[in-house]
Amino acid sequence: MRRYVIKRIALMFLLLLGMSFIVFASLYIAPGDPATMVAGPSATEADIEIVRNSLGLDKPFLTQYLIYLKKLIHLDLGMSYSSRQPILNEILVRLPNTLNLACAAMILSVLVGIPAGILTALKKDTAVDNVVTTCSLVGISVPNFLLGTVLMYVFSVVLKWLPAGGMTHFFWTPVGFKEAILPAIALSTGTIASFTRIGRSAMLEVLQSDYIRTAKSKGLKQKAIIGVHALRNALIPLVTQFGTSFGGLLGGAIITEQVFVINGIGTYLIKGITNRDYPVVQSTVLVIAAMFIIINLLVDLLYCVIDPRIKYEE
Amino acid sequence: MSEERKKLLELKKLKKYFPVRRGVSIKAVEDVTFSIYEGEKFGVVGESGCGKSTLGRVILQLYPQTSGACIYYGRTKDEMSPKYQAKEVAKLLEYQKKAQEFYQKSLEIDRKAEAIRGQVDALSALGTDREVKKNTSLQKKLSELEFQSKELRKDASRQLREGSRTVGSLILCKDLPKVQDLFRQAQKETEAAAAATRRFRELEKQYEESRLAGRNDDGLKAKMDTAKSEADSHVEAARALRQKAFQDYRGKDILPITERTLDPAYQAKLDGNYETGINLGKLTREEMREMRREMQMIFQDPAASLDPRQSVGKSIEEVFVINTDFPPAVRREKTMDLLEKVGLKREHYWSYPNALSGGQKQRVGIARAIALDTKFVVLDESVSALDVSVQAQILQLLNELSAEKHLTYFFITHDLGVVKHFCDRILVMYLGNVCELADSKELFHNPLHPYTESLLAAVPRLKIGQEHSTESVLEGDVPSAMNPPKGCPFHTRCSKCMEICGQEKPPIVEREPGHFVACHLYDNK
Amino acid sequence: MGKKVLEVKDLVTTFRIDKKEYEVLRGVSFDIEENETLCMVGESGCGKSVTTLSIMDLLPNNGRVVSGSIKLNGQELTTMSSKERAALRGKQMGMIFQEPMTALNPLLTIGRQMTEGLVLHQGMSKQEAYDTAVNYLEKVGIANPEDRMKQYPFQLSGGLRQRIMIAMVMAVQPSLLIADEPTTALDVTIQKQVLVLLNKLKKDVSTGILFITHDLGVVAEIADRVVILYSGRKVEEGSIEAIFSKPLHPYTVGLMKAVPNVDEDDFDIQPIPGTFPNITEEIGGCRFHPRCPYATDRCRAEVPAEIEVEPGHLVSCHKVAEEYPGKEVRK
Repeated sequence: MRRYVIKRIALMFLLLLGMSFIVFASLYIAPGDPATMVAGPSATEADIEIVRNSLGLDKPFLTQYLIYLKKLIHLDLGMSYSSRQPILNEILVRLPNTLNLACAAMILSVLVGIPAGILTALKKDTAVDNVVTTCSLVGISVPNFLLGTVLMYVFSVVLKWLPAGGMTHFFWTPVGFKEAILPAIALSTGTIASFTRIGRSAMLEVLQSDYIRTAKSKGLKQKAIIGVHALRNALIPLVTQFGTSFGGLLGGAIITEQVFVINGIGTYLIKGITNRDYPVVQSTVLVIAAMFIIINLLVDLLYCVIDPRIKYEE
Repeated sequence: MSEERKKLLELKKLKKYFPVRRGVSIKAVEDVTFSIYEGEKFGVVGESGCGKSTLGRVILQLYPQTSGACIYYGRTKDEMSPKYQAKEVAKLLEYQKKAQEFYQKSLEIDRKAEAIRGQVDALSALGTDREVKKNTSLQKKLSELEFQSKELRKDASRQLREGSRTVGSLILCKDLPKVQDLFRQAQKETEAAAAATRRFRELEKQYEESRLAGRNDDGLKAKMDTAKSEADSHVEAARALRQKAFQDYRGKDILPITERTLDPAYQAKLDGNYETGINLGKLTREEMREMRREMQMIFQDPAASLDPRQSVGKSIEEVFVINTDFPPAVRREKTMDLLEKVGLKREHYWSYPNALSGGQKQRVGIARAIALDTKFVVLDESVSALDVSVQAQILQLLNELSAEKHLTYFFITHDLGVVKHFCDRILVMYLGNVCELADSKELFHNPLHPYTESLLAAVPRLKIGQEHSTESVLEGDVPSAMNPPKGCPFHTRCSKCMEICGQEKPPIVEREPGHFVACHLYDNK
Repeated sequence: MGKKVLEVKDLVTTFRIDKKEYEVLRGVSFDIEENETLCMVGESGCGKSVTTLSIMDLLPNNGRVVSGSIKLNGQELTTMSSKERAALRGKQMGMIFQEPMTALNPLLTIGRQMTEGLVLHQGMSKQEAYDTAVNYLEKVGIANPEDRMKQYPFQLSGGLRQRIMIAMVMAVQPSLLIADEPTTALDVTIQKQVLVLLNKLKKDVSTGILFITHDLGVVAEIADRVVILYSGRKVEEGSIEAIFSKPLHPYTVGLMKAVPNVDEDDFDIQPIPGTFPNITEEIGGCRFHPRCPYATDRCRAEVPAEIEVEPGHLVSCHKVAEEYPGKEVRK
């Protein structure tokens, strides 16, 4: 098992490296001249040249990349063109909000999606199954900004039960809960739907298997069969889905933050794009990618806990 | 009786290892040597992990062999002109030279070893402590050198053996260059023969088509005959050249390459290595694909070997699509004929596999296997998944087909009852090794190998009132193929195990005519 | 005559396919006594597995027992609730299946899987259950039982897994053990070990065994009595001596001729012509008549009644009935 863990961690670093290269290269290729941006609209040719020089934008591609990489290792994400502030600080201020939202949405997805999946598998082809499946289909189809706006209108504007936006506290506090609930619902519908679907098919497949037949033939209670024997096996594909979905949540958070006016890295990213603030965009994308890769590493390690076959693979 | 039969396949020390990790591999097939004759139903039995399935697949080159040779006599080298032939002829001088080099090196090492031996003798005469220590390190060096020398000698033999596959004992001749010339010319003739055969096949196809269209093209037939006789004459020429080489040079001017080369027994052994058949392991992929027209496989799970999204007719037709240029109408005709031949209806052409029963699906598999000019069929547990009465039907079909089309079967199974009554000869395998090989009835009446005895004892008997003995119950599980026991692989579970069994692998001996066994009990033949 | 562990009478089970209901078991009856092995023989589609599922109440959603009685140690099962039958399943009946490789949960330890039944049904404490499990692992000939308890199924071979299944089931000391082709997937030598083991345990625990197989050799090795099913009906029943020395039903005779006998030297494998009927196929009269060499018009029209040719040897065939006139017709 140790080999498994070490391999995974090594792979993670490799991925981060690759990620940094792709991010850097894609922005390098992108049209638009950063020097002009930084220098401002009233700059002369000479001014722009000075800016270009000072930013090191006239050096060859690979050199720029290596400088970039060196800075990254020192956690120096550079300066924002528009605000002239270190990007790392700006991100650190906003990151908790996004994570708050993403985690809330993930917990909601797990608590709703997995039981829904199990339920629909047990009650296959009944009314319950059809209703839930249709709901999840709707859930995937409805874009989260639309749902968010509708929810906001109903619950904040009309009913005035919940705040319309902003995020000041973590979701496990009473205030934070009220702030987070609507955006979390809007964000998580797609993920709930995928958990339901995968949970359902995984459960159905597991229920067909021989060891469930053995468990039944031993006269075990239904609760024990589902809860102990079936669930553990069905969890494996669900854990995989967990990792993939997290990426989706991070991406969806970008939109949801706009709707609910949450000051997270999603908003930061969009502001950066609008302002053509390349370092901001570069760094934010990198941070989001890094989070995704780390979560997937944790998922891989989680397999070891659930599936003893991986532990003993050697 | 075995003199009349023609060999179809010969396996020589075939090995197949699957590497798992550095230094560890699954030794699936270990030094298997036997021959299969034309028209016989050759059965292979053994339990899980004995390597019978792997062996079947290696023969068909679905897995490349790790070492050893699998020689096919269904077609001669001259008919096919495989590419490796030319390469081997070109390498002849190299083989001879390398053998000489290796042997000379081993002689040098021997001289060094002699010197050290002298030192050791001198030291042991003195017998003091310091000398003893020096002694042991010298001893170590000595055994190292001895090992190296042995290896080099083995390498030299190997070179000669490889060369002898092409020219027999002529590899030892001083006039090898002249031999090589003759063989080169023979090779040219072979290539011309192959080209003529290809032309013949083309014409044959055209003739088939025209015949199905109703015309009877005599001009084509005449061209076909010309091509065939051309091919035959080239084959004759090649054969004559080779004959000449042997006549002129065999036994003359033998070089003393190693200490054995002057021994006529060794020369005879090298002559025995001369391959008239085709070494399947050395063929290129294209050439092997060509061979597959004649060598086919029928698998165990009839459902899994048919594409569920294709009608069975299309699945059978694929064989024609891939290997021939027949137009669709001809293909369909032939496919429907095949379906009838295996006991299905012509209408089944349009059926999908899920509409057929297990037995019917297996019949489709059989049809697919005999579609072209099949000579050799590997049946890997083909009836094991079927119900008993269906199994009987399929076996009857296989019997009929074998008689009608002169097929040779390699029948892999674990069912001893079936193998006894369906197969002519039976091979018993354990952990990749040959245990025993004999005629079916002989094997059951007179099992020699202890493993065979245990197998037979374990088979449930249909006779009631017979004491179901529990004594000969074989205990334990089969050892892992990654770490097989040293010496005879069966010795860990053998009731008749002796000391030698744990050290040396028993050789395969012919205890009685046609009855082979690999067991130390029968070492003194 | 020992105590009757299982009494099945006129069992009719149906399956619903595409909204129509088809009979899979058409009135099957047999008994099993304690310490007796009854082999149920037949080929695909004869209903042997469905019989076991009906007895164990493990039919899939589209199957149900329509009529007939199943009595376990005198208790009528068909009138019980699902919960009651589940309780009975673990305590008095045990079942082992064909594929040992997939019959155990890959994510749970052997120990866990062996003890859960004991804790639930026998009311044992965890320690008692553990000890019992280890005891039975020893009984089935597994070395180092305590080590095995901590292992996972994927670390063990097929033969070992099947033995663990047997230990798991026998530890509960059931009155009835149902074995559905448990040795078909195993090597011959392992199969022999398993059969010897089953025989020994049967005597130790006084269990009645219902052994399903299509292998006549295995039947000869392990059966006391034999029941032969064809397409949902019992066609012949008798002691093993009776069936093997004097098979009467044409299907039984055909089977004997089609199975290659290791002991005989010149055996012509003779297949039975034709194929099995689908469960959806409508066949009047005796369901074997399309393949029977002796079929008459009566066979095509009338289902043959069961006659007792000799004490304990029952056959359902018109031809046999004619050869043995006046024999007791068993209902």
